[in-house]
Amino acid sequence: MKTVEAWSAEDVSDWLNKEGMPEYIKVLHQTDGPALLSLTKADFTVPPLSRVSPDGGEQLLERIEILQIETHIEDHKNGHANGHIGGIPNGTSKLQRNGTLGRKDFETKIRIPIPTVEPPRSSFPTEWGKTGIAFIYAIICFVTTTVVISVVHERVPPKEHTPPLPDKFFDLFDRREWAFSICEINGMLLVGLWLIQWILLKHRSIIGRRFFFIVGTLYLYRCITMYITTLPVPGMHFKCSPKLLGNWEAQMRRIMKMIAGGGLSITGSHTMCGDYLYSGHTVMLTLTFLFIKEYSPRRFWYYHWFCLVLSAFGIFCILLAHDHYTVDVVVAYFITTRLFWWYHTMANQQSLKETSQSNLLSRVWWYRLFQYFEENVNGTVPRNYQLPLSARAFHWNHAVKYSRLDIQ
Amino acid sequence: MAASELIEEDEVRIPVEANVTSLNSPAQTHPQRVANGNPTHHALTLSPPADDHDGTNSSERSGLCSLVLIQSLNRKLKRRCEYEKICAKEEHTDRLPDEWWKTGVAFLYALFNLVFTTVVITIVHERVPDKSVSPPLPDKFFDYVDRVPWAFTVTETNGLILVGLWLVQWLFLKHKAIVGRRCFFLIGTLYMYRCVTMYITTLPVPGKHMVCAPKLYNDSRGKIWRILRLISGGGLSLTSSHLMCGDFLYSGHTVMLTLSYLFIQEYSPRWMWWYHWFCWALSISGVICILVGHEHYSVDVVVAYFVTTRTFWWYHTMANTHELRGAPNNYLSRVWWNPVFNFLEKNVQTTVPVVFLSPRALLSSCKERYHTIGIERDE
Repeated sequence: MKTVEAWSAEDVSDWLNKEGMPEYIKVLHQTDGPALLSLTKADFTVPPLSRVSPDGGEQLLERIEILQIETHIEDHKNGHANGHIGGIPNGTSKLQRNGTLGRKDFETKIRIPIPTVEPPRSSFPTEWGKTGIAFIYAIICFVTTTVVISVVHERVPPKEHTPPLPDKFFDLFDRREWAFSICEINGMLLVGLWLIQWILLKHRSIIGRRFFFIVGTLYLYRCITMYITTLPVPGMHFKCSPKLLGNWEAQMRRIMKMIAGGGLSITGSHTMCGDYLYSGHTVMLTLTFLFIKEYSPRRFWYYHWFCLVLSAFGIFCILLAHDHYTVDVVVAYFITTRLFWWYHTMANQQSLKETSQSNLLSRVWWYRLFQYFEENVNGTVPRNYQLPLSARAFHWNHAVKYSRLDIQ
Repeated sequence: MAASELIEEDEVRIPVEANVTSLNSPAQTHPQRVANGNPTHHALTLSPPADDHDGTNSSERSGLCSLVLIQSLNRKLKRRCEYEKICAKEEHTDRLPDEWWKTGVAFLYALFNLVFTTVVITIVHERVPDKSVSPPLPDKFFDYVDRVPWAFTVTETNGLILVGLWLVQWLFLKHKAIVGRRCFFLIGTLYMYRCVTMYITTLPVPGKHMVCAPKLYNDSRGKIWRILRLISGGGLSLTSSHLMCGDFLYSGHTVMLTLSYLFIQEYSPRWMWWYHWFCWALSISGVICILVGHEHYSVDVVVAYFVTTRTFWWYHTMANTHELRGAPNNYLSRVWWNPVFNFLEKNVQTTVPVVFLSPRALLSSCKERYHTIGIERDE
């Protein structure tokens, strides 16, 4: 930084601008460095300076003084390493004497970098586009699952040929016929409760995105495990619809029927066999409970307990009805809970949203997809509620933000 | 000096929390712009006096000046205010303590689970449906690839090589105790999960070629002999110790192959990429050969891979990410083994660095330990 003595008129104008004293620019546009330094109080008592100066030039003179110190200090900075106590920009020391500016006791002047105030962006942007993509992903996974079930059905060995496998739970508990209906009713209740809760959430786009992504991935995993090895039917009570070997049209119709019925036996849409490892009913029961618990207020403990009972009893009833092997249910529970907790831990911890040597959670195959969905979400999504239609009303609460106008 | 004069003549009006042990910022006073010209002498008038004109002795002078300043400030502060003493951080609390006894506990846990697995295999063997009653289940891989008899030997050989490499690597690690603890814990947990899945549902044999030892219905003694034989042979078919069937979901061989590869990769230097690739190739070929040999269903292998990798990454992320410990929204801590994890990793405060000891250092550290033990005994 060149000393003030070397400044040109332009430099002076720039400096005046920077100091926030634009009113002097016009008047002092011919003033260069030395002239600036030679300004005295007397100059401010006569026009033109008297006209523009609100305080008799006090402020400007002071600034000029400071400027002199600054440039001096800049020059000698290296020699004064630890000598000046105030030489670290942690505070400013400025001593005011009796208003007289004549004494040349120099104080060190430290510049405080004030961060420019940016309008704060929302930490939880809605981004419905991403939720839409997650929804499409989930739909694709559901349809793929249905197709795979239809394919696997053709390969299930007939129950006479391959009897049900030995299962510890089946040895202990006999089959109850009404049990599977209970399981499905519980499942529908939980899904309904979750839907209502989701509609009432404020950040429904973010949470919806998470739900669709997790559900889609779980069903995708399920496709794989169902397809590679086909387990026989768990009980002789099963009525599997006949195999349509090669008849594509009938298979399509079957697929449509299943999708329309949501894959539930209650609706009569699920007459196909072979989709045992792992249990989709367990996935839905567990996942809806996890989401309900996660995104509802902590004090609703009775609600959480109710949903837990629904979920646990529903899972128990799956086994009681001998509709799935025990290993199907256990694996489904394991995968669902792990995926849910994995995803949410990564979403809530900023340090886990970047790949690094210590972040081993980032080695899953869906990490890039996760980053895409959660990159703009900062922090834990708060449990706030809001009626869906008052969304527009919410906007005019925005405070008006003022920012300093820069001249030129 | 002007500044010290200033302090002498004025009272400290604003209590200052100053760090008198450091020469740097006596920070927390308010810089006050005086609008109306009234002088307010702040304690922060420790600003050094006019140093402007001679730059030559300025550093000395200012050094001296600061000293005088601080002394006077010190006196002032002692009179008026309380100040906080800031101690320098205590150096060298060991951030990676060894704690061999914890490793011992983890080893016992792993041993117990391995024995328990053997017991469960023996039990399950009694319940496996006969090949004639329950033929092998349809499996996609088996439809495409026919059985190759020697494939399983390849698997077991690869497994032995990988375990051997990992053992050697582990011996040369500096933080053996911590890494060993982790290895034992993961092995134990994965085998425990395996016990659960094997026991609850019994899959039939994957191929007609499998020779299952006859069932011993109530012969407890015979069963115990089988258990011992299986343990002593390490559960490998190579050693002819594994004649029992029923332990299909999920595959223990896949667990060992995957886990040893993960550990080898995690705790070796990054520049040894050829070593990583070699181990990866061993691991993958071993796993594929399990399927080629029709020794396990595909779902056994896939589930084993999934559970092993997830558990490994989960544990290591919990261990390496210190913001998670005690964080409120740490869902990773909701696993059932979180208390065990806290016990094992409580005193490990940083990521374990991959540091190796040279053979000489290794020997000398062993000697030292024996030497110390010798001295203690003498005393």
